[in-house]
Amino acid sequence: MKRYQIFLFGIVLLFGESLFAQKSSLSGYVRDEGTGEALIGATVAAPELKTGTSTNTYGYFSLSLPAVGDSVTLVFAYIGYQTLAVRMQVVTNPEQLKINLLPDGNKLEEVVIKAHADNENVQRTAMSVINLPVSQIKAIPVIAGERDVLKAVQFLPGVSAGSEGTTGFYVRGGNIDQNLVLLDEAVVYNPNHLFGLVSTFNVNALNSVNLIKGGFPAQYGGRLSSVLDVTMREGNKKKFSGEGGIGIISSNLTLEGPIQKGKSSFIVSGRRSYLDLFLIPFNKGGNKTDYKLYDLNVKINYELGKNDHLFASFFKGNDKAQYTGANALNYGIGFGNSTGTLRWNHLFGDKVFVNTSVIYNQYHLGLNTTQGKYYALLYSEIRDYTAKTMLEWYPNSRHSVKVGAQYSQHALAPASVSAQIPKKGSRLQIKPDSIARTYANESAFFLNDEIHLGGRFGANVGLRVPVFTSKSKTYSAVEPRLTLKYSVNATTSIKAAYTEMNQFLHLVPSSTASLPTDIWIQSSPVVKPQTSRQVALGLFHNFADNEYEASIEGYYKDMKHQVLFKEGTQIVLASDLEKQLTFGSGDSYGVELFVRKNTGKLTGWVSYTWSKTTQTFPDLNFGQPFPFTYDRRHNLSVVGIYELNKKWSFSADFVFNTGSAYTLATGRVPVFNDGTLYDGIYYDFTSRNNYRLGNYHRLDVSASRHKTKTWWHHKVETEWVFGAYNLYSRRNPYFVYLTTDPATRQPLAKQVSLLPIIPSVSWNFKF
Amino acid sequence: MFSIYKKHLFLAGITVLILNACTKDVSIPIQPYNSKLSIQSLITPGKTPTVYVYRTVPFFDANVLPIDLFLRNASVTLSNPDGTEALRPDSAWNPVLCYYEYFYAGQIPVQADKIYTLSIVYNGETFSATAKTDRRVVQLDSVTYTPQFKDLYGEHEGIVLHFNDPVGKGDYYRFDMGRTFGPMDTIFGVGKVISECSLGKTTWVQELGRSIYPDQNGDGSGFTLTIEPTYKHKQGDVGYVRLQSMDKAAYDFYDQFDRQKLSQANPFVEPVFIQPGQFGAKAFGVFGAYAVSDSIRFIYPE
Repeated sequence: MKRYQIFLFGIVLLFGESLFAQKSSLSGYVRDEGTGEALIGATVAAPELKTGTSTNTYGYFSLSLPAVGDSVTLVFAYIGYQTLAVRMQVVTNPEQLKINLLPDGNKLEEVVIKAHADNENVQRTAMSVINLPVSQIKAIPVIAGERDVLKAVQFLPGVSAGSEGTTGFYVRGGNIDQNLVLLDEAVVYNPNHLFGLVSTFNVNALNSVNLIKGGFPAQYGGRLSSVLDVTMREGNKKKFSGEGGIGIISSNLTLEGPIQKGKSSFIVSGRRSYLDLFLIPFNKGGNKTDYKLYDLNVKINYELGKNDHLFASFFKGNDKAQYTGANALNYGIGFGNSTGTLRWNHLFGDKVFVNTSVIYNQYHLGLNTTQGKYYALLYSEIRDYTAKTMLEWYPNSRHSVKVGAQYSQHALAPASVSAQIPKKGSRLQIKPDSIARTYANESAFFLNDEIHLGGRFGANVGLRVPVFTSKSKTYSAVEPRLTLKYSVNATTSIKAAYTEMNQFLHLVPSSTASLPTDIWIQSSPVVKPQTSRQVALGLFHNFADNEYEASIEGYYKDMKHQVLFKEGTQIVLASDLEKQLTFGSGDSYGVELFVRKNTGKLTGWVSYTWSKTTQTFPDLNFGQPFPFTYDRRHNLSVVGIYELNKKWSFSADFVFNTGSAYTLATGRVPVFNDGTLYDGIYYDFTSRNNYRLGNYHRLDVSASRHKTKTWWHHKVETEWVFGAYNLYSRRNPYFVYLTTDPATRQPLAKQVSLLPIIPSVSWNFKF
Repeated sequence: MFSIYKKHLFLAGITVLILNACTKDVSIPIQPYNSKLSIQSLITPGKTPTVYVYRTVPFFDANVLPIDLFLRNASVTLSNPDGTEALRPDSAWNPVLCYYEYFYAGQIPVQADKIYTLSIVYNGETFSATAKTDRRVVQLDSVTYTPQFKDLYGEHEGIVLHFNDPVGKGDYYRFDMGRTFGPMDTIFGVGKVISECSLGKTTWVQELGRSIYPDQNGDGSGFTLTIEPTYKHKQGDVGYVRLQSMDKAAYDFYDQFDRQKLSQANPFVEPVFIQPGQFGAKAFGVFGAYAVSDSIRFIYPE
């Protein structure tokens, strides 16, 4: 009885305001004026009452107000849009609000109260979160004119790029598999097109991109290091429109429009490369180079009524390439992702928002590569079916509660062969259909409450309980999530976060191969879940009337049960992969500095990260700690976008990284043994990852010329983009390998570089 | 028309630039390295002992030949309960690679069922290990040939050894074949080129299997080992095949050498660190014992 009373007291303490006071709440959606697209993370503030909230993934918000009958000013703000202030009367049962914001380019001064950015980054409780506006992503110069989400992410603090030609990004010392990349809630296991040159995400189809590096809300889990939450656009609800582009590598086209005006809309966006066509004249003799990629995004949404909304989204991306002709890189590779998400939003009154999703995703990689006298084959497939529901409850102005559950079934099919090329006869083959699938079940329950404690304090308190079953072994965990905020003043705050994470799916990387020979495996009786604990502390400050936002964050993260291959592992067909693995731990710490200018003619940011990441495996490196492969001590990125006038805009980015770590022998062990096969040179490795590739740096630039034309009585915006990737053509190191001069028997080191200057021109249009 | 052609050529040129890697020689900063000893000695009853004693060097050291790396001023002794013999520097011509190989040689044949201690004193430090010459001889039943065999090294021909492992774990087997080889005309091995001096010549070679096979999973049963021959051959070439039965020290040492050799050239394999062995942390090496079977004459059928 006493326990029950304590529980009741706790409920009253938490939610008493809403239980006993005469309150009202305002709720509704914040959307783009022109397209009706949901604005995700837009802030809704009542400055007089010192309260506020932000919109969720669907643009929905609910804000409790303390007194009925008074009038209140609500301020709606979103980066890249004009801030809107609306004065309204608070009534008992207000109508659902439909707020439309105008993009910055459209000037309607009469509705603009304050045309500067807000201080949401300072005042929100969450830390280690960066939102990348799609408009900025589109403006950043990238390779061959391909606008790219992941290249932009790599410019953020705490994020480290792999080498040129490797895929993905590394966050706060975590491996590439520790990033949860979501597209409309569906996991994208490999978000890259070939070589990692461009990501699978077609920016024309995207609404928002959010990177979370720490202080993870409880609704996210299953990965240790980051969440990259990408949301597709819903399509223009008001009129049929389109945009597209023609570039050097590929062309893309996006079409969108209402299906039933005001109720439903669609968007279809596709991209296809045509390098294969250009390369035909060069594929003569023994050389053959081929490169194809495509991706397709489709999304349909339908408003069933005031309280119900359906979304169906689909994505498919594929790559296929072949290269023959140089010893360093001979391969055939094919990989792709497919996802499908069906979501149903339902509103219970104005304070409870429920989203229920059914999700399918599949990823496969097939690789056939030779280097020197050896070849490797690899096939890796992972397929998930997921059901998920999350309830968002806004009981009062102090709490924003999210509670939910999700279940996934994973099916994995890894197979790999690495062998010497036979002198005669056929090589070993992998037949994907004949690989035995292994199945695993993963479920999670979570509760998260964003609490405004009153005064200067705020907290984000969460708990996630994941349960994973595979091969008759069940793992479960309790993951506390806590973020605390103290506001020094309106433009300065201090935040701290503690999170625990578990990861049940693992990608086992090869430290030596230069191509993605990555294999996904699941936790099992042998392979324990990866775990991490992370603490972070940050100071957030905006200045110049919120024109600039700045933050400095420090973090420490320790990671257990990290996975690598054992030394000398020769993976053969049908071998038990788990026996080839070795397990260890890692820790990472660093300081991240971020200064961003969000408004004005010049926008962009500077990010600098100092970090150190080490791993310790009892079976590797004589049991001594060694640097993580992508341990980069210094990581500097500068991104600038300058709008000269309505016709011309310019952008540039500069990146500088400490070279990644790799292993080379320091000594040579001569063995001369009576002319036997043992004769030769052996390597004395004194430590793993003992060398560094040279520093990586490059400058990319682009200039865009905008023009508005009238074609067939329709206004069409056109844009020429001229760019150069790696402007000063630095031959950045890609990898180094050892060989022996056959004539002198002297050891040699050879460095391979990949990308020189790559000029580009592309043409984009929008109607 | 011409301008369209030029435009396409320009675009294609760019894509080729993207896809083609640029490779150049680089100088790697030398890291501090403490030289160690590289010691190999396998003894068998009835044969005089040999001990290979070399020094390891920094990876990019200019010294690569045996004459530059042999430690000729070491003190090498081999002792058993009956006495101690001091071994002396000696050399043998390697007719394939065309250089002399250097070693320490003894005069007294090794005796069976004795515990031997090898001691090497170099620069005031002593490196020692023991081996017992009690390996049992395991005779070959037969030797056959297969034109097609699949294993870790792909599909290849193979010389097939048939024998019965005696009961009791702890036997480790290695292929041993002596034959004449030549006339030499081509490249063999990784990074090795037959020297001009060996071109066209015929010589005696001893092929020792690089892999050593333990009886861990087949103790007391019939064994079939398929070995990929190293040197080129033609139909009718004759070899004399024997089976070496080795001790665990030899197995441990050569097994890691074998795994490292595989990882050196294979970019898809994690590098193998050679662990300190019988001689402590300042030397890589082995001192082991083996017994060898009678030879079986083998004729290449193709």
